[in-house]
Amino acid sequence: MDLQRLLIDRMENRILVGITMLLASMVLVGWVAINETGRMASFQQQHLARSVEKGAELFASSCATCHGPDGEGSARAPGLNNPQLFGHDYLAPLDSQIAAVETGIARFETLTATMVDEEARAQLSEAEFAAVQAGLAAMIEEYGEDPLATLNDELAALVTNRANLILQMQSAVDRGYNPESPSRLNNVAWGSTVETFVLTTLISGRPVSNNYWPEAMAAWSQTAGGPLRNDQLQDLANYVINWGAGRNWTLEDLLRVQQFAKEPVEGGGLTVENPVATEIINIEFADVASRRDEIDSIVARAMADMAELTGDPNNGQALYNGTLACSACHNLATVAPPTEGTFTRVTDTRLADPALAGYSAEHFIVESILAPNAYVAEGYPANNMPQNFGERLDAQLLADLVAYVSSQDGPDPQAN
Amino acid sequence: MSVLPFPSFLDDVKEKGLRKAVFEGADEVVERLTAGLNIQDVRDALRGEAPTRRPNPRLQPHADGFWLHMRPSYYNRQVTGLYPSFRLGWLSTYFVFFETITGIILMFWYTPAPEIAYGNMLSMLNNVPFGQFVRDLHRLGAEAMVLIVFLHMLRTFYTGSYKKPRQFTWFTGVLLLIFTGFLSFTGYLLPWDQLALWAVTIGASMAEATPLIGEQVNLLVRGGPEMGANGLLRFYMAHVLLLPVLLFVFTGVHYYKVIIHGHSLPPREENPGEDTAKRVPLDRRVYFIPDVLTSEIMWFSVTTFILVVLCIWFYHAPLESHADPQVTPLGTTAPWYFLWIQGALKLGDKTFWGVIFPTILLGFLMVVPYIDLNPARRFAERRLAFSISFLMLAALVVTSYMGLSEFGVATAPDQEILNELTFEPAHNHMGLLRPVSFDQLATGAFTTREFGGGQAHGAAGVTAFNEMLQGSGELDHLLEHLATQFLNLPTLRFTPVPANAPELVHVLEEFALLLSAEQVELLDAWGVVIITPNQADLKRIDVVINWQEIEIVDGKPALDDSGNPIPVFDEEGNPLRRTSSKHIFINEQSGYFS
Repeated sequence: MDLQRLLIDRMENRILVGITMLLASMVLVGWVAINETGRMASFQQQHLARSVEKGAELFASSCATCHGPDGEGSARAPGLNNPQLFGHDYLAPLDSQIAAVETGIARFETLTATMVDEEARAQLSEAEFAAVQAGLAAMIEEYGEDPLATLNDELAALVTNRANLILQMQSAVDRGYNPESPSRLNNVAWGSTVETFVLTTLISGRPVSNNYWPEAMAAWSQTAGGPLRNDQLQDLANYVINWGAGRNWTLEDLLRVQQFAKEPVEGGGLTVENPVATEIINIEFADVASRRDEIDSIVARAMADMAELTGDPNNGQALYNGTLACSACHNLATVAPPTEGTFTRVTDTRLADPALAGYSAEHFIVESILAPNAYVAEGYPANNMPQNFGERLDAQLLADLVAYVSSQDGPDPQAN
Repeated sequence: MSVLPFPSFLDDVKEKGLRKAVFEGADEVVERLTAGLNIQDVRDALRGEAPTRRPNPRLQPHADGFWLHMRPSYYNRQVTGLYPSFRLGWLSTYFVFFETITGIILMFWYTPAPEIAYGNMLSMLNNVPFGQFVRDLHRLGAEAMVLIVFLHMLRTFYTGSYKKPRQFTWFTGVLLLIFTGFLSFTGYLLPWDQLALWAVTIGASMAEATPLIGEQVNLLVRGGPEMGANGLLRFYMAHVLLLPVLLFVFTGVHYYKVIIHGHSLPPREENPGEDTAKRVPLDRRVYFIPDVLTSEIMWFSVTTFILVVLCIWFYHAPLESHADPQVTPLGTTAPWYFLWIQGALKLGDKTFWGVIFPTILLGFLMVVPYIDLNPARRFAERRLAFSISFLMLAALVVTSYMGLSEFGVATAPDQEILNELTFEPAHNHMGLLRPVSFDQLATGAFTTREFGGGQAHGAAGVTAFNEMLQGSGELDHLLEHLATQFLNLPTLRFTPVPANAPELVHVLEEFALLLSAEQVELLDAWGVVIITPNQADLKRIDVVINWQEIEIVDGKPALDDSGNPIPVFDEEGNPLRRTSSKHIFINEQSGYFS
């Protein structure tokens, strides 16, 4: 066999072939190295593109129902194909022109003031004075005989344009858009990118709030108990971001948005004029016995304030489930007794405890709200419930809350 | 005298002069590194001259050095050529080391957790220099190793090299084949893409069929009822620790046995029952240094070069979409070297064909040398053994073919066609619609009736199709169907495919051909492709098939006396039509068409 004789039987050929192949491999690896940057970049681009495709599929099946098939939002959820999300400022070009004109006006005023003011003039060197004169001459050259009038005209025209532009956006403004504060991310003081904003919203969803959205967004991440894997969320985020990628937003884009994101209302919580207890009662469970007098006097004062008032259980319920979020803990009987049957539990079980001898149900409830550590039900942790309700409630709100709790007189799920 | 308490190099220089001291120093270093050869010896050896010293220094490294202690110092000239070994045993060893080295490099970039693994693969491909290259090498090496080890076994069988006294060598060889198969198989799962998950799910489903303790074995292998985080970690540990350790240990045992008994000579060199491998006549000796060593270095260079060339231009390790236990891709198969088991499974009972049959087969392979006591090694005297082996090989090929999804897996023809048009890149193929260039994906609605299937063709076919849809109320059904696929269109008007979109025309022609090929089951069928814009660089493509339902008996269309399918009608006597569809999104940058 020729191959056998030439290659395998002759050492010089073996050495030659071996060295050639080794060198050739090294050259090829070098060639791979040269192309590596480009290859990685193109893979990146291609992968991102395919990720957008997968995101589109997920969006169509899971998100379009609320956010609209084109991502322009619906009554149920804000638009994502939306210049607001990407922080496009329609007023920015006009604003910068206005700023330029205003600077011109200020400059003209400073220059003329210097010319008019004898004292200021006296302080200038000849060269500086010449510069002021030249500056004025240049402005007259540019804006005609009366630069101030010209500039003010320009300013007025720009301001009118700006007002007109805002007028053109009126239908968007009606749906919650604020042209003066056009960036969603700025409005919620988001410190990172649109991508992470979308991604974290997808992961954790959005809670319901009266000040916010009446409809909750589910947490979509498997991490948060939702249906989607993290890579799918990334696909979705890539798809949403693709709406803004290199986009030249037009006014039509804005007007097509069906719904804009609502901003959480500042001070959406309670503001009360006359709190039932101005001093926050912060009493560790261990100190309850030694500070019993303090507790008793605060509770007695609150009870006295409430004596003339009638509680509204509906408002109490709103406080309980919403503003104060009592129900967050008082639900599953893991960290706190459940809401259901609370009143029955108080009358039948708690008041039977000799430690509470002489208490009325109302007294016990008020004390438990204002000084939760005063009596800690067996099986639940002490020092767990917030102790600032005295500061957050006035007598009426407290009465409402007590009225709601007293309405929970059904069977106690813990009775057995 | 030296300032140091022992003689130093400087003393040498003083005593002998610089040139001589350097030369002698270098000579000593070389002699120590090679465990016996000095510079002159190396020169002599590489020039093909006889050794100039006695005793022969070229035998020293075998006696004193670690690296060559297991290598014989000389071979029989009869076994150093291509025949009879074809270098397959050497190649198998090459791949053991090749896979170990490339595998260790890959380990730096990989985390065996479902949430992370696929992302690791991506970053290997888009952010790690040489990431793709090393992965390609490792994957190609893995597939090649399975093949090479198998061929090595075939060669050993046909030259009768497993016969006495080499029975145990063969036995360990079969073990190594099994380890190699499992190594390749466990590695298959690690990218955590669809290909990996489903190939391994099919492969591992055999575990369930183990008699008596199937459930336990399944739990042990997968770490849970389904392949998940635990399963991935187990496969990873098996892949990087358990199986490599076994492979290395048994490679050692195997090679030790090979050397103990000597490389078996070509069958024609010996009489039946004779074993002369250990007694190499002086005139037939080929010394390891320099002949076999240079030969091995050459093979190393050549093999590496071939692998490098293949991985640059011809082979890229596949990576499909992220693994999704909810979505079973159409046409899933086990890795090719396990196809024979998948094929055998189609013969009947899962426990017998999936577990007992392969176990018996591998057990039989292991004990072949203890059963086949015929001492003859020449082909003509081993007719029975050869016949049996050919039968087994034929069975292997047939069962492997049966393992393909094309064989014996009934998929509804409409699903097959939809898949054919849209499937994601897998095994280096993809659905027909994907490679159509983005600017030819004209927005609009197009029908296969333009290209056949109705009375009229061309523009007239489209017009007739529009009229038919309007007239029969099918248009509303179509729009309703699309709405269930989250595509809400107020109405639809079909148009001929624009002349400047020849690639789209081609796809629709293929679509029409696919439909007419299935005209028995998909009676009077029409297909449509609806392309809608989604984002600036993204389009949505819906493919819909609509056909007249026919009577199906035992999975086959029922035929009337004249051999035509029997249409099904609803209670009011209208033909019952069925619709199925699939949609994909295509991004301009996705590179399907590059």
